[in-house]
Amino acid sequence: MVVAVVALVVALGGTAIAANTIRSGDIVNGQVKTADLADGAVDSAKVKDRSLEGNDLHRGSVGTAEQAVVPAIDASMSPDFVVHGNNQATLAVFDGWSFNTANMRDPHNANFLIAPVPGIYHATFHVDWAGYNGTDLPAGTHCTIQLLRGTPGDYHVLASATGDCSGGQPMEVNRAIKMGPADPKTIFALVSQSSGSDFNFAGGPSHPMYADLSWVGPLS
Amino acid sequence: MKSRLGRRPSPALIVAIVALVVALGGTAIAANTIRSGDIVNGQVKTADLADGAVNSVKVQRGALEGKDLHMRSVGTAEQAPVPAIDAYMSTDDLVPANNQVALGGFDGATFDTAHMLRAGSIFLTTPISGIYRATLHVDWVGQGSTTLPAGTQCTIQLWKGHPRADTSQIAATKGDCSAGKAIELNRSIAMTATQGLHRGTTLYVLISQNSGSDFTLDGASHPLYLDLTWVGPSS
Repeated sequence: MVVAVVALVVALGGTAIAANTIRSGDIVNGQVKTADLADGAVDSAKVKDRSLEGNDLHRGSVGTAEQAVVPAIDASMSPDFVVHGNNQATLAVFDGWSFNTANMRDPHNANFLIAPVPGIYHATFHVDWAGYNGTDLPAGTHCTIQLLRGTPGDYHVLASATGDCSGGQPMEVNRAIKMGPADPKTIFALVSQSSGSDFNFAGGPSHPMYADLSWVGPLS
Repeated sequence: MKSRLGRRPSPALIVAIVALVVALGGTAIAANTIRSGDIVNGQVKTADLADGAVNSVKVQRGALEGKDLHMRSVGTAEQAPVPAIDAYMSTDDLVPANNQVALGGFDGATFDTAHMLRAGSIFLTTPISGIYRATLHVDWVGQGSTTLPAGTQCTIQLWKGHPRADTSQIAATKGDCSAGKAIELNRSIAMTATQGLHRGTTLYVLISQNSGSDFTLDGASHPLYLDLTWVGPSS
């Protein structure tokens, strides 16, 4: 009788679970609830890749600190530079930069910038038509500045502007541009001027020519 | 003689049988007694989790990564405000003759998401490091709709730091500003929070015109504005 009572007490007491023996199959589906999880128990490895969505995130919670670096460059020209007369197009040179977040300069050719990922970019191409030793283009001169995708032999014009560039007038184009996954990644710029003489840019610290590219977002 | 089966069971036998039934009935686990140490590592699987069980507190701080998110799932609603301002000048501003530079101060903003224009200051302050998109615009229209004479050239410049210390030019342009023409400058600029004065980096504007007479910009028409928008981190 004593033995039987002890057996009953032991059986009713249950809980003799050996440590580290509970497996997924022992747990009723959906029974691990918020309170059961330790704070900070879920890390990136425990989250299935590409499973969380925007509505899993607290509204307004993705701030500047969470954002990854996006491709962006402020490329500029620093050497002296000749633009031939009579509207002969000349390739712009970008040999310097104030920032370059994604290796967007072609290391082998200073004429080219590189858009490393497809997407929409905001582009600015700016030219100060200020010449060497304070010279300017004569009255009535018109200049054209262009931003193009591809190579000089196979290109697509992304943005273009023509205007009065006499007397040191600057010119600028601002445009949102598309760089598709099948498009060439290279971007280059052409400048030309209509005067009858060559025009010498003064390079150096004045950086009379610059191109800015900033990735804005994906295409779709 | 009574058969053994016909005998009344003893109390000990009854208790023993109950104990056997209870024991065979399976693991009688007392409620709320399983602890982490009882569970084999990695055995709490997706199916075991209640829907919505994982909330922010359960996620290790800073642990989630971009690859945890569904592609293209972070939309405008999830994004926190980024530093951005449209600052303007609403007071008259005298620009002296003969290319003497004048400070273009700011005293108002149509929006300012990150307190970039502080009370009593005419400078803008970028609150965090990063790349900013900057547009500086000046309409060369004076009081009483006066304009500058033909042939006048104007220069607009964006500087960081303070006019009297630790300063460098970020961007500049010049052009024909006669007859009320506008001059605008658009540039992506890199700012670091460690530069300049105070908590962030201060920005200010210098403007000049080469006519032979002083010229006063008409503040009522907000002739000078500077837009700054944080685009992303610089590294």
